[in-house]
Amino acid sequence: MSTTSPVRERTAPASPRIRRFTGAQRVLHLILAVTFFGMLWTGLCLWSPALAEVMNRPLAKQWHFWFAIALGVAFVGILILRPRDVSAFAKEVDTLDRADREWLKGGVRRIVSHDGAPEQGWLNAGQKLNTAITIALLIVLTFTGLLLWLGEQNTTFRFTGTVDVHDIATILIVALTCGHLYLALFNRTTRASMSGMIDGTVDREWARANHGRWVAEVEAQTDLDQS
Amino acid sequence: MQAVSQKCAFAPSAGGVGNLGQNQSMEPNNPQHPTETPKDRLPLGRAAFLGTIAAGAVGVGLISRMGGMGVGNIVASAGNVVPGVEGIVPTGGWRIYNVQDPMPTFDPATYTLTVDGEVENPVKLTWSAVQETPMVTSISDFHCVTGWSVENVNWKGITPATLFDLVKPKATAKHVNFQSLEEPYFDQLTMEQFKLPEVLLATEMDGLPLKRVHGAPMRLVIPQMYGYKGVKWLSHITFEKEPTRGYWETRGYDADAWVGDDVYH
Repeated sequence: MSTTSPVRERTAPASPRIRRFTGAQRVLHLILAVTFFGMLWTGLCLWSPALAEVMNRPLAKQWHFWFAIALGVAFVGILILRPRDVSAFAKEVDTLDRADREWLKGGVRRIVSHDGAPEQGWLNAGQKLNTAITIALLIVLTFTGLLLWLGEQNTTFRFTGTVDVHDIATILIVALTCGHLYLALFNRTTRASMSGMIDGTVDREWARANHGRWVAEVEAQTDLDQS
Repeated sequence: MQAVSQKCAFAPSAGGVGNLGQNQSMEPNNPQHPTETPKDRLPLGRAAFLGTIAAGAVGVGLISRMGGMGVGNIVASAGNVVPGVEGIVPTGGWRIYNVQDPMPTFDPATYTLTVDGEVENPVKLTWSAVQETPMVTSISDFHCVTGWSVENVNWKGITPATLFDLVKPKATAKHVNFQSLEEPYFDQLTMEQFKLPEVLLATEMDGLPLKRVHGAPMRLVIPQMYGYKGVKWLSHITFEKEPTRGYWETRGYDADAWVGDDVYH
């Protein structure tokens, strides 16, 4: 690469792939996925009479607890080591601009098919809300889980509503995750995004069609870097 | 070329609000958003995030004041149309907790209830002998330490007074151990706690023989305390001089299992 002249770089055709997520972002996503399904499985063992005999209660509770701790440690660790990779999500998800709001008006049809959608940035409005609500539900599950754990040790912390909110949050996060998995794995318009969380890149032309404003920003930035 | 695309790795932050000025400079190429300004950005993502957390916190408070809403029951009711769902989802407000796999299976031919320790007359009752012992019915609420409750459970079983008549505890008997067939589960009450009204060695629940998941053939019922005190699959009662901590108490549970006057009626 060092022998390549700047002139040649500028004129070379763009790579067919475009970098979408950093290594730290993908590692955090992978840890979230593993610990989420770990907590879901052990949680189901704690909840379903049929599964109560698959994994006994003390063991399921320990695994449920330690999966949550692992996720929390991973989040804090990556926040410390790669703060910009985490804050990029926070900044992106924080606000919805006019195009995002227009995008949302398409409803469920818009989530599945991006035809005629207003041009979107790095994350589209659906991805922004999914990220914000999923993380918020994880926080709700964490504090209700802590209350359940504390309530056993000191019944002053035992509240009737805790287990109900833990259940509702679980149902909501499972529903969101099912939609997330459908869009990432099966849905024709969106499944090209999956590689972004595997090797970090997505097809440039797919990105241009679905996240046009973002691709324009990246390419403009690249041109600035090269000039 | 690889080096060029690697630089793009940091492009995500270019999509953030911090780069708005840069976005605007590019807008002329994008006829759909020619006049984007910071005012066009509304903190709706933040609102969804904070709103969800607030709903969770307020929900715990509100549902607690309502006395619970039994989401498990709602799910179970929705699933009740499917046959055999009872084994898969919790039903009737009950959640099924056990500490060993599989749960004990009751065999009437081999089951015995042993009562010994600090008593004048230790006994080993067969299942038919248990059934011949006088029983009473009692309706009480069941409260679990994890937050759920089942109201108006109709229990039938042997009272502590009947058991005392049978085994005659000595004056040295200060505590009572309840051992489950589900080894190593056990818990303990003081004699005073065991003598509380509505305490039963129950063999029937809501008019039916106790089901396996509820501790067949016999469980301790003490409505004044959380459910982990109510040992299921009861097999051995020992009157003791000294106190011992039960299964969950040695694993961090509150030794004080009283549900409290505001909960217990």
